[in-house]
Amino acid sequence: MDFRDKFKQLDLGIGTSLSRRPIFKYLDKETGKTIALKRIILRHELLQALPLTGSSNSRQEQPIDVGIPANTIRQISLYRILDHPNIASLEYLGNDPGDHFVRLGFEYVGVDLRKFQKDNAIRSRHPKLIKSLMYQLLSGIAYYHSVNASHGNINPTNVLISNYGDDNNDDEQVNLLITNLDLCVQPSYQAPEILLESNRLSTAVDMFSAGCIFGEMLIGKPVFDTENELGSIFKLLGTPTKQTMRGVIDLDEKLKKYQKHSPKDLSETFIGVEPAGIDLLSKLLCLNPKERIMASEALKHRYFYGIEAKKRVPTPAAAAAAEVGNSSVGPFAAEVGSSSAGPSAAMDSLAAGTSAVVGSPAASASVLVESWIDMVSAALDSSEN
Amino acid sequence: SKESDIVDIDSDVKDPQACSLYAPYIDDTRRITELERRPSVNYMEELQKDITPNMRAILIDWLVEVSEEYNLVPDTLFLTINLIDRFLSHNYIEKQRLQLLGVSCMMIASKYEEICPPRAEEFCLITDHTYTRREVLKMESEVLNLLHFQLSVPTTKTFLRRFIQAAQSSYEVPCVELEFM
Repeated sequence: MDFRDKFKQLDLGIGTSLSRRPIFKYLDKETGKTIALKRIILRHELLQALPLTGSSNSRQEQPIDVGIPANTIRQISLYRILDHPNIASLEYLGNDPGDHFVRLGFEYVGVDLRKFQKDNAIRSRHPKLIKSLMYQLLSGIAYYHSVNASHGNINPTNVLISNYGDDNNDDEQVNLLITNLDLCVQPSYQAPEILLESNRLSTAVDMFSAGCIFGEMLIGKPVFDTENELGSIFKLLGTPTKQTMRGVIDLDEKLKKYQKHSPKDLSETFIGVEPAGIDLLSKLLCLNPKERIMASEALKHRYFYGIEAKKRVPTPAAAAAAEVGNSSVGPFAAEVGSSSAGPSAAMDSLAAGTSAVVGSPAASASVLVESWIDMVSAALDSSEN
Repeated sequence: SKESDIVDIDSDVKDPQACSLYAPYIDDTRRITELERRPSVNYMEELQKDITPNMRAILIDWLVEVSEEYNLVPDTLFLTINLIDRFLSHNYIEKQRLQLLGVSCMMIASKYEEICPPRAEEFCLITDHTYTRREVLKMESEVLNLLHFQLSVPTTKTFLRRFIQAAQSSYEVPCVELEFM
């Protein structure tokens, strides 16, 4: 069925995506469900043809000759296997007849966290609610990490809050969903290693973003400045030195322009927060990604001891990851990443090496082709008769 | 007793890559996923009028050669075959386009599995330019649309790895030859 027949556009857009294009909500005419539509552009010429709302530095920008980019293939097949109560599900997948883009429709319920906080200024700062939401946020992130993926852009517009009803509604019922819409905001809620343009990124980037959201829920406004994000991060957490960021990034050049600060006591900024909360916050907002707390560990932090038993039961994936304490080897790890990440890596490289020896090095591709083409066409002819 | 003779193949908890603690869960999940995304068993009789089982065999023999030529990992080859069978379960194809389906599926599988997948041109070259780049790319998106990007599937290779581990649990030296089956 044609997309326009199935869905009706709802409003003027809920934000801007990473590739600087607006994202719209649509109503499924049949089921009455609301989805948010993200488009992944496939063709290079179309990227040039579409006016961009900002300077062009899109991740999908690839020359046309690759066909459907490998990143897109991996990305969408990852969305297909995600299955967790705190992650928005992929409800619709379709492409346009010209193959210029793929449409991804994600479940969209309630409002985003930013709007929720704006509309419910008092309620959203209720400690019990914050605890419940943080637990759900971290469960979702732990699930991402357990399938060997990272979200990479956790911020209040990519987090949906639903089922909050009126002020008397039970805090435990409020539901949180992480979506894959890649909406962008300022400040970016991104980890310092991303802002410093390190090329060694890990799942720890999501944990810093979760820390920013946690801090924002506690004080009711963004923790870091919009204009000088990195500067304000260092102002609160201290300017990193060679010792504190060892092995993460070569700092000398990049840090020159930042003032030297020493870390502040978080309980002075986050007044009235219980000590366990401050402790968790400091572990999430750890500058060094290697020392930052992992999602599966964070779920076991004493801050969450009050969470009801039913909420404390994570999905099997998250539970398994928590048991080992190593989020990078979840049960689906071998199925998601490239084969280099799975347990088979050693065997595969061995196999690849051997097949190179087996296949005669003298036989060029075209020689092989010709002999095989002949054989294939001969065989096809004979089986025809 | 008899039970004590059974070796626990998931007893190596020290190697994080063996995922020993939850190996049984991984295995269960894969078996369920396999049932959900299994190609139909009788598409040759039911749906395909133009191609024969023999042609499929020839195609796959050829793809084995291609994967060796481009040094692709075995997982790519197995995924390729899974994609071909799933496509053929739902779509009628003429024999002239069977090889096109083969290279397009291999291109998708390479993009999913390989670190450096061969380019579309290389897949055209290997067919001796029987098909143009445009045709290969068009088939690629046709396959992806039909399968709805559902590429995370357990293949023969996935299970083989597990079975080899089970079979060898009493031997000291791993049997590398089995990997090349």
